[in-house]
Amino acid sequence: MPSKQFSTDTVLTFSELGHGAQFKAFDMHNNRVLKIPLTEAETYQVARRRRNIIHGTVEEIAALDVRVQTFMNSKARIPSMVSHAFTDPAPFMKILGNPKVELSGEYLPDDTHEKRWSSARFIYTQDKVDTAATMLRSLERTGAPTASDKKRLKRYIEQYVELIHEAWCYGYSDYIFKLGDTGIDKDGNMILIDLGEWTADFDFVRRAITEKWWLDNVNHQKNDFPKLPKELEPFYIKTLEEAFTEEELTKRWRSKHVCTDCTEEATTIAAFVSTKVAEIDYIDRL
Amino acid sequence: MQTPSFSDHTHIIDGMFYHYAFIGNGAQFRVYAVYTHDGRATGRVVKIPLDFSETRQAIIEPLRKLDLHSSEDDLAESADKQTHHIMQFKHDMPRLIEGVLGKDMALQRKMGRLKMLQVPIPTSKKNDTTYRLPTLFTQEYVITLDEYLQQFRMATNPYMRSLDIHSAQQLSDVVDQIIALNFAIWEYGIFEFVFKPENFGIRFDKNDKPELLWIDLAEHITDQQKALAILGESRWRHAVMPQKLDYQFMPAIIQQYYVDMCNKHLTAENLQKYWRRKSDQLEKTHARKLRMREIVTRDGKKAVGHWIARHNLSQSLYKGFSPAVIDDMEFPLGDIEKLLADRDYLTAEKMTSIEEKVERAIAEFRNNDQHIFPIVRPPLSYERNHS
Repeated sequence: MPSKQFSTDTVLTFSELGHGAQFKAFDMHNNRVLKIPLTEAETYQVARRRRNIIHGTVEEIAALDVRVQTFMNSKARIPSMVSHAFTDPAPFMKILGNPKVELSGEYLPDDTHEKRWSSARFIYTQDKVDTAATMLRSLERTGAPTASDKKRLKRYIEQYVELIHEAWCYGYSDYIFKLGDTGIDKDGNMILIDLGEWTADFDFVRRAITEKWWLDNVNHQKNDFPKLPKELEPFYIKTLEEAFTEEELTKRWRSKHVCTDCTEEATTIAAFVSTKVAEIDYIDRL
Repeated sequence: MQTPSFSDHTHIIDGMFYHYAFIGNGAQFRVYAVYTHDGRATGRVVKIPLDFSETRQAIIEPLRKLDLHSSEDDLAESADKQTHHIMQFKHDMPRLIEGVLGKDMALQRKMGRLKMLQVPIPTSKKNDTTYRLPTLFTQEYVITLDEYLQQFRMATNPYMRSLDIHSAQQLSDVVDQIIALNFAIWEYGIFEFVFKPENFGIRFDKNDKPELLWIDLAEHITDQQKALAILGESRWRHAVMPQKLDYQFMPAIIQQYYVDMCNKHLTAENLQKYWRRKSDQLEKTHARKLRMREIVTRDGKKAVGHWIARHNLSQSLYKGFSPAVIDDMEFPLGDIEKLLADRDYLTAEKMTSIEEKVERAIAEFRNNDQHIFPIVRPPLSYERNHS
């Protein structure tokens, strides 16, 4: 059994920071955040709220079920990504906020009818950040951004592009591209905090890039994305159109991926499996 | 130190270092006064969270008395729903001592120096690898406002009781402080929405000047629009409505003054005036500091860091616990387990005020435009003790 990363010798006081569709985040007050997976029922509630369906049609409810399963399944991929045997994992882990996954089943009780975690039976900790989501909402509240805000936000978008490019070098990518799910840690480093929607499937990322899923950050129909100020939209679109291309992806993909996990056989099996599971992600984007 | 005394019938839990005297429960917590092992008052209480079934049990009878339900099933459903809400509100309690709120000594004094306590408790004696982490609170031990107000019951009847000028002055001072305490939390964007007199405690300085405290601020919201709607319905009136059996009924002698003051001060205008006044000021001060750092740094990466930190102040300023708000009474684990497991409190003697019932009945008759004859005579203390 792996050793547990928490000790009862140190009494920590946790306070809830918020939740997405996959995890609840708690401040551990030691510059780390603890993430506890939502149960299937909780995920269903969040998904329903986001779609704003209270009494949906049969089709809408079915779509909601699919969406819930996608949320549950995609977060289950986190442990394998975080524990991938890179010869030097530190640079990639830094991009993800140095996550530490606790797979020990002792933290979560067995599934019951009311509380079901299914395949996402783990908790993890991660570096704490000041989030872009809060920053974007703050800008939304204050109205028109100042010249200084615009300058910083442009730099932030450029840093975001650099970070995604860096992640591609390790053969992984976020495929939702929610700018709000990024943040800056205490040392000023940008971190991609939402690990629940990542993939190592090149074809899938290529599709996300080709179809420009990153446009959701400026799509005003997508109410679960904190929005960029309107004045910055042209800059964002231009920057990402130039940076998130198939050529840029191909050039970088796995260029720094040095590990002991990816044998030829393992790669073949992984490719086969990812092809099979990719349909879940496709459904997510419908 | 003003620690109220308790009777011989008080339910007491004997712990390793402390004795815990049960003093009452609401729908969210059981409250025990803490005494040292040799019987000295520590001046603090420990608040133990009620679990779902305890909470449900605490609210179902008051709900039944309100008589708003068509059937037992309807009542049960309503009780379940309300219990969920109450459990939810209890989770918001730590917010009151986090971040800048926890560092505001004046505010913390007004909340009886509330402190939080989280201790991992093994889930079973055999298995010491799994734990649960209940959130307990400690707070200064003061008498409840309700208990204080008992002395003014029936004071509208000159044959029963008369008020001296000092008492009358003190009573109006108490009502003024109810208003001031609401303003104090509005300044942080917090709105207590039940307006129950029993949520306040009171203590007196050496000159006998009363100081009112929030002893139960769990039921609060941070949404200004919802707060405005609640003010619009004058929910504070519930404390003077005889049919609101889930509220302590304000003594008749003070009701008019209470209503006048609330009408005058608990208004939408004042909410707009006080709402987040301190929060906005604190956020501006911190934003200025971060802006300065952003300007003077030559490192572009750090500048972005300061900028995003500035735009996160609305969250980050209200997070984090200072050591001052973490309880340091060092309750032994065994004591906490005993307190959590205590269910004997359910059989503890519940004090009811006959005078309150009488005042409520008189008000109800008056509201129905009925005459009361013969005059209801509250039992003498001898009768009360032997009834």
